[in-house]
Amino acid sequence: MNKQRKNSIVARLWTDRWIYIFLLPTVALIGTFTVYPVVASVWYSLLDWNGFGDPGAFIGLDNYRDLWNDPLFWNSFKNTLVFLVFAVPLRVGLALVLAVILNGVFPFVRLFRTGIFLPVVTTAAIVGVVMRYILDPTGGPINFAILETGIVDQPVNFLGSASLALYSAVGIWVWKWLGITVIYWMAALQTIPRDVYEAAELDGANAVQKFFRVTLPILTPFTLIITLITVIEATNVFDLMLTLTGGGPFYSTEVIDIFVYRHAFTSNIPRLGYASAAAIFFAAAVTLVAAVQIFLVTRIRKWRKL
Amino acid sequence: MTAIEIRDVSKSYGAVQVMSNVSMEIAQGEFIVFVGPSGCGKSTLLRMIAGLEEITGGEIAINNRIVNDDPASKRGVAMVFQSYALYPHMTVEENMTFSLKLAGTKKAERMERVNNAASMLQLSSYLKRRPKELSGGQRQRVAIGRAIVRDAGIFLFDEPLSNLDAALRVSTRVEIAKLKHRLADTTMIYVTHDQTEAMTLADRIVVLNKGSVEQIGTPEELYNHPSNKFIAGFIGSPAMNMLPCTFTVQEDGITAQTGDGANCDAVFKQIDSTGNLTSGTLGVRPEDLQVCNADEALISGKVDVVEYLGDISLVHLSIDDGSTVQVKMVGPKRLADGSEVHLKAPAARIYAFDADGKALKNLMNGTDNEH
Repeated sequence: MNKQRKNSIVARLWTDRWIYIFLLPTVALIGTFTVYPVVASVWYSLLDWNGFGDPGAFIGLDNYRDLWNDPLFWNSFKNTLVFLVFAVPLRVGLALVLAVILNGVFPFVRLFRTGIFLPVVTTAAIVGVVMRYILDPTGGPINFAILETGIVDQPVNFLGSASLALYSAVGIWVWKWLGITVIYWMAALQTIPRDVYEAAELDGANAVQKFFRVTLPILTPFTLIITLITVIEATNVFDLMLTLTGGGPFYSTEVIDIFVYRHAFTSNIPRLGYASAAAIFFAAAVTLVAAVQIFLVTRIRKWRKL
Repeated sequence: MTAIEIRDVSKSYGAVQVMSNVSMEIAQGEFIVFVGPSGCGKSTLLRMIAGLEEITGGEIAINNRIVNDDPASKRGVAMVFQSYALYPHMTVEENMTFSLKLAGTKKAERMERVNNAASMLQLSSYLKRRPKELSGGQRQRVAIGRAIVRDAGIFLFDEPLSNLDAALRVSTRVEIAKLKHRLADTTMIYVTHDQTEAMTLADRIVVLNKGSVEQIGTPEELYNHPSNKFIAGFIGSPAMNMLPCTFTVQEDGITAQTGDGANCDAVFKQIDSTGNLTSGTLGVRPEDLQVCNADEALISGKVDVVEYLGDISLVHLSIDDGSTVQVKMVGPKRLADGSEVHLKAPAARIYAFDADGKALKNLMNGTDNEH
């Protein structure tokens, strides 16, 4: 009986062998570069290991206990949250407004669409480096412009001031990625038939009423998904932040990614185990947020019967 | 009282003119149907009345006020769309009261109007549902309900039955006819490409073709006295049979001979043109043809196909010049394929058109068709 079943599984595998052969490269790549690092990180987070030489001693949850008591970890956790709270609504909201405008027909609309999308295709690290020059307080064009026009009388140290740097980074990140969100929204807007707007027009709705009482409610399912995607992207700003501020000044822009990187690779005494613990802890937090969001999406969809 | 007046309206998109010099007057409480082949401009004309499409030339007046530059919401019209165009995120009740809410109508009045409309359309038990939970027919009723709640003086229907299946189309058509009786003062304009809808619903039909009006008249006028060959072929199902003919102008009228030499008993008169008349077209409706002996035949042909439809049979004949003729016969007909059939029609029921397609007056037909 058992043997028969075994045979049948082997036989089925053999019948579909081509499927598995074609799957092999993908499975190998994902296994090597995604699954293995995740599993390895979980293991490393339980070790006292600097990342060099033989893996260190197994110390259980000690790394996690250290994290819990590390004010700089909580600083980076807070920075990531602040980044999320400001950057996500700004990017999602601004992109929607732009999408509604760019969805219309007016001269040079394609040019504007392209212009807004252009930063998306540039490399984040290069944006970071270039922005350092552009926002430089001693000769950067932005400061030159706002000084010349008299908006300020002292140069603004966008990236060098601890109270301002994180918000400057939010602005740059939103600008860099706005275009892709505009594309999402424009695709979402295409799903609303023109008839519905015409019906609203005949019902006496003006442009603002059409937006808030027709467009926005119809877009709710898209809003939830686009927000979810943007939240996840906003937790992953390593390349931009490293080149823009490197986490400084005084850890004021040190988001989780930078915290992990600093402990794993750039401190005098690297602590790969500790960094892994931070990464795993944060991944769990993000997963939790995403899970809550997905739960809400399903509930809202069910409730709205969309 | 005139509800809508359309004066020399034209429409062009850039250099392409899609509608030219359309004029008509629509009385209050009238049920007007715009009908025509696809692309004839009927929906465009409706949308221009609604204010959803700009007018390039001419004027549209509603209740004696020129509305060319008025936005759709200020024209006092309600519209029912082919796709229903319901707000997917609102319940049936919210869909129907949206315009009232925007206008600031009190809740008690909103509810009263919704309940009235809902009971008229048998929607009372669906008020809390969303469009997604309704069938196509129910959705279209909600769309009609939205128009009723508005209490607009003019209802515009843009092919409202096209998305429904055949059975539902018939029953909804009857519902619309009943609705018209109940809302006797409401002017309704209805766009369709389906001539059955046009014939059954309309007080008057406007037949459009290639962006201009071919004829305006009651269903009977259009059926019995088509002003030209296009109308003759468009109104009536199956379409009128057309036979090439030659005309002989005599003192007491014009007679016609078909291509294969058969004589037509009818005598015609040109309505207003006096041009040279040599050849043209004879038209006979499939329902007017009868089987006869060879010597009195107007048309002779061989049976191609017999379509049995229950109460009638539709016989397709091919005649010598290669064209086909359709005949409606009562009851089942057993005619062998290829067998020869001779047909005649009462002289009063034969139509003639000149080379330009313009109708001639049939002098054997008692009623006057000069208009």
